[in-house]
Amino acid sequence: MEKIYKICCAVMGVIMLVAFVITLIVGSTGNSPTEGKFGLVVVIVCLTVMAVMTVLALTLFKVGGRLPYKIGFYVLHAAIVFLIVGFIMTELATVTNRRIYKDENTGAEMTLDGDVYVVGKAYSSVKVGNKDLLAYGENFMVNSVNTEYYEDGMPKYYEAKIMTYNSSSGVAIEEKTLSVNHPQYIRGFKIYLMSLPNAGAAVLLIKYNPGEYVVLIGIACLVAGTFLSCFSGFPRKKKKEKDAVAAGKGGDAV
Amino acid sequence: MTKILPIIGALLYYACFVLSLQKVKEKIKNPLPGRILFVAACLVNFAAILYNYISNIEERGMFFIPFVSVYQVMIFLAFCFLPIRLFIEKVCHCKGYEAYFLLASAIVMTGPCFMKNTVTNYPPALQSVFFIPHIFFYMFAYSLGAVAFLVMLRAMIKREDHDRMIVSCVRILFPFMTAGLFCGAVWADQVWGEFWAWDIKECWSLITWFDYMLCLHLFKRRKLKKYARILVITGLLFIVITFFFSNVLKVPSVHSY
Repeated sequence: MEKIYKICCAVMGVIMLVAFVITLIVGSTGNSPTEGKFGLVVVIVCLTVMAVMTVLALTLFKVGGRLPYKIGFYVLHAAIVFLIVGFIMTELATVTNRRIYKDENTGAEMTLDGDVYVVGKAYSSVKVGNKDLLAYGENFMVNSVNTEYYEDGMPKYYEAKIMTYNSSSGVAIEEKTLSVNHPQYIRGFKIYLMSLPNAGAAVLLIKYNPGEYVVLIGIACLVAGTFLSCFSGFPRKKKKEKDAVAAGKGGDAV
Repeated sequence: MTKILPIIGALLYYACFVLSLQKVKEKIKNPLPGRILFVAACLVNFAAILYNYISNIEERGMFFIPFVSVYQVMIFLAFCFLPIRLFIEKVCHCKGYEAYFLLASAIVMTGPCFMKNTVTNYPPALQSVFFIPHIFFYMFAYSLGAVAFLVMLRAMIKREDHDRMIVSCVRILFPFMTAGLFCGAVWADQVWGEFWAWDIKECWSLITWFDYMLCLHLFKRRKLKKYARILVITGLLFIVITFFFSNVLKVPSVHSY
């Protein structure tokens, strides 16, 4: 069992080194490692290995200590598995209108954070990958945009009002207000206001991520489990130590 | 005021540090001057935080905890060592380490003495409920990382065993770092539409998180402790890189505001 523990620690160290190499690559190129196929495979392999090790920790090792520590241990390790599954789902199954644009003249690549939607224009189809935000007979429209500025001209706040409506009757089905940090959901699609290029248009990022709630549950459990296990594991002060401190002999002096 | 308060604060922290050294303690047997200086240092530090808060409101009309610039964050960070020290003494029963906390506070407080308090307007992306917890958790984690590093240096130089204190620091540090990291991930999903963007600062913070995670695991086995001690040292190195990379060196990053 000790050997397995050592191997697990060594593997964790290797994964950390891989993260280090990825960081160096990201730092020098500015590209995400998961954009390329090789990078994506490396990341997924590392995460899968971590998930397997975590499952091993949950099943093989006996956990001692107080009950809150035990609960924390199991919650946080289960959360890591959840989080990894959610992350892989996010990487593989997310459909988004974010894409890389390559300039034909210069060859330079840039990421486009969504599509431009003109205010007041009716869109009968909002394609995101192979999915459509709209059901049959529905239209989508950006009703209005609003921007507030600081005194020096820097944007302080911006929002866009969007709606889906019945194309024949014009009756609104869903109306939402988007602003930065406040995306909204329509039919399971998450819509973000990325920027306002001018007073008559809005750049919207539309995303369908089936792994979103798995990741969120994983994060919540991981944070709760880490706090529980790390804070409940401190040894209670023994009577001998208490007496030593009371007599002025305790502590490690500097 | 932007220079005077940090300078006075740093000097007071350095004075407290000198008075808290064992050799000085033995010479000056009265603990009262040290205590008075410590209270004064905390008050000056608190006054600097309050001043930043008020100046944010007056200059920009922002009712925010003063985290607007690196200058303000460092003044807050210097103050973080006080509650952590109390917690470590009361809960972890590790006493006699006040010198490390005071030295860490003093070093951190020295930074703002040479900085300008450049208050910029809050861009829309920073106006989020996650902003304050994200920084708050990280400040606590970084403070503990610094203390663990200082204690580890002492242990290595003097060849003493301070594992109990170091493990206590890492055990408190890790949940805060986890909360800060994943709070940032949720915020990133709200603002950029991605939990993880492989930004340079995110990558370094992930390495730091791995470092302390591995460190906690290695400390659990007697034979592996020597590796854990190295990770405590590298942990602070990664923290410094993470903290300063985009904020001071202005490396292109989505975290550069």
